[in-house]
Amino acid sequence: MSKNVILKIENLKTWFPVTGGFPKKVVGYVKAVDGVSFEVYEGETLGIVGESGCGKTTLGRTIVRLYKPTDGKIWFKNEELTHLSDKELLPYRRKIQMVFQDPYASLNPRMTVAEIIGEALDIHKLYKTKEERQERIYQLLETVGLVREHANRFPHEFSGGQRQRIGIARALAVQPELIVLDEPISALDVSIQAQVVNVLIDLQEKYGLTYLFIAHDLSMVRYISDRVIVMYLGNVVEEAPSRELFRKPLHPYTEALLSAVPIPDPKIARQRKRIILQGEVPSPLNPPPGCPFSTRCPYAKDICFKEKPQLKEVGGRKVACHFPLE
Amino acid sequence: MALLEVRNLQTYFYTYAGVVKAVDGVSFSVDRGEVLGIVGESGSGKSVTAMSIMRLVQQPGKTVGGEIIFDGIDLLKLSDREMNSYRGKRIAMVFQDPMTSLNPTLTVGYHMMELLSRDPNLKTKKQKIDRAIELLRAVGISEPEKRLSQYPYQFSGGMRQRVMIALAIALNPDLLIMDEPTTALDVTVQAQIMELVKEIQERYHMAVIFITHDLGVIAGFADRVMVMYAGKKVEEGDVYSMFEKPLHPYTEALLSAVPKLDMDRSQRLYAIPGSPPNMIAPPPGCRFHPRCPYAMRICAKKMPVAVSTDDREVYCWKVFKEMGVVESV
Repeated sequence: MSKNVILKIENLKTWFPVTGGFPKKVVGYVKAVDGVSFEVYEGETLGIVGESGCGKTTLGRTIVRLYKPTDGKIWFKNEELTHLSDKELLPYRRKIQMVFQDPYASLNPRMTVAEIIGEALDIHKLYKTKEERQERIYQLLETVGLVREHANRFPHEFSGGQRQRIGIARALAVQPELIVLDEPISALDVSIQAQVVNVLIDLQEKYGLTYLFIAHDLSMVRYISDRVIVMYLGNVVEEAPSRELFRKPLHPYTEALLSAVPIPDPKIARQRKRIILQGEVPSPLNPPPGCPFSTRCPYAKDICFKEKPQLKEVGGRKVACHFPLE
Repeated sequence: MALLEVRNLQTYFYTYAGVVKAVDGVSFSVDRGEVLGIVGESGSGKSVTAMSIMRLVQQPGKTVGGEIIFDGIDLLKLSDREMNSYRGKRIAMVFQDPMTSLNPTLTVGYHMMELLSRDPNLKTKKQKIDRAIELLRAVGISEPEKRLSQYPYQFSGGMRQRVMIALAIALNPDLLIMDEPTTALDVTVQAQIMELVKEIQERYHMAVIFITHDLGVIAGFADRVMVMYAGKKVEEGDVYSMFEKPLHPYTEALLSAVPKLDMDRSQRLYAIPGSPPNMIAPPPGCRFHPRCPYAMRICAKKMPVAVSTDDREVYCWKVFKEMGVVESV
């Protein structure tokens, strides 16, 4: 795999103001993404995992600039996208696409499949004649495993798995280089998940796409990703090649998260040692002063409650912990 | 004798478009102290099975046939009033969505007191409050005294599910039915809840019916597993042997659709082709045959008969052919 950086995120912060009182004023911020840095290489799949509220979706949405970052930088190849206007962003919107989590909410129910996919082609003026547009739509449907006859149907006529394929076809329509996949299979049944994952892998091999795969299903992330980033409370706590991360987590949170994943094998499931975390994720409105994980960490010492650990390199991997696991 | 024996249960929904046979002739039993896992995808009829046992199926649904023998009594023959004395006391249920199964306008304490007022051993209000506190503590809720006067919105998802479990075990039921109790929760919270359920199940020696679509959760918790597809039971057996060697092609496909621990992208996941059938007009014969890689001519014509071995029961013509063991038709 080439090591060309396609996307670079530098100290990215996305905060949402919380208002209250009268007259209305900002009383605080939800620090959904709070200083995240990483790089994505061309042609790879980078998995982003974490529990609900850890900021993984906000991160994905900020990268495609559906949210404006509060601070930090987003680089796509050599161009900084952070402060571009909508008009200036248009060419990059073509390069970076997104597939959303809920296939029932992300397709306009009043538009036919042809209109949904065609809209993307219209915006970026990717055809010369009407016939070419039509042909392109058919091609895209076939690429994701649907048929031509589906073009004039409405979203409600499709099952969840088929809708997610439509969402993927829409993202593909503009020939993107990077696709942000925000929990693309969470809403689907097990048997359908495998279908969609296989389509994604095929497309990646065919077009050399780069994926940012956001999910909470760790076994699927391990399977599909080259590298994985683990997020907790708006921060990256660990970054490592997928295999290494799952073989030997360095951050106590990753360790606990991995041990909580159910394994579909009764023998392994009943023998392994599980780390049951106490309590729940603190509010991102008022994160703990030191390490974000300190309140639940079984190994926390004094310093963890006072000083926030930075993401630092440990043997080719990165971990944000004062006392990484041996 | 088994604590619960469900025989040929049929629960249909009468919609304008036609009759949906959500549960179509399902039989199984649960012993005292046993954990039965029911797995299936959405629409397979697993939740409707649970609702049928509780007799909570609502219009346009109706349980039209079969027997639900609980401790020697057919629940389907009871009057509504008699059934009510079973709910909560003998059979309790924990629902999937902890956000909507508690009344948002009532305090958690109110929920608990309402239920505990049915306990004849608790006479004074003080006794009831003490018991409520004891229960909340048993399910791992800190500062239960304070929590009693709080409303559901003041609880997180995991905490609400703990409250639901406290309510479910309040009257020491013999059978606890849990319908996807951890689906809406994060994995670390799911692990906490599963640990709690396991502990409670062992301590009170309760029978549990555990419904989920997550094979991993079943593997770690159930004694026996029943796999459902399109309103039918397709396979039932001991959890260890079933995961080691699934016999029904659907069970096999489900297990190979999730990535194994040692798998990477060079090995493709097995994707079951097509999608689950339209339940108004399910395919004739075996309901899985249009998606089955082993389908034979007979599969499209005749419903498979049960093939039973000592630890397994399978409904599949292929297995029938291979084993040649017939016990019931």
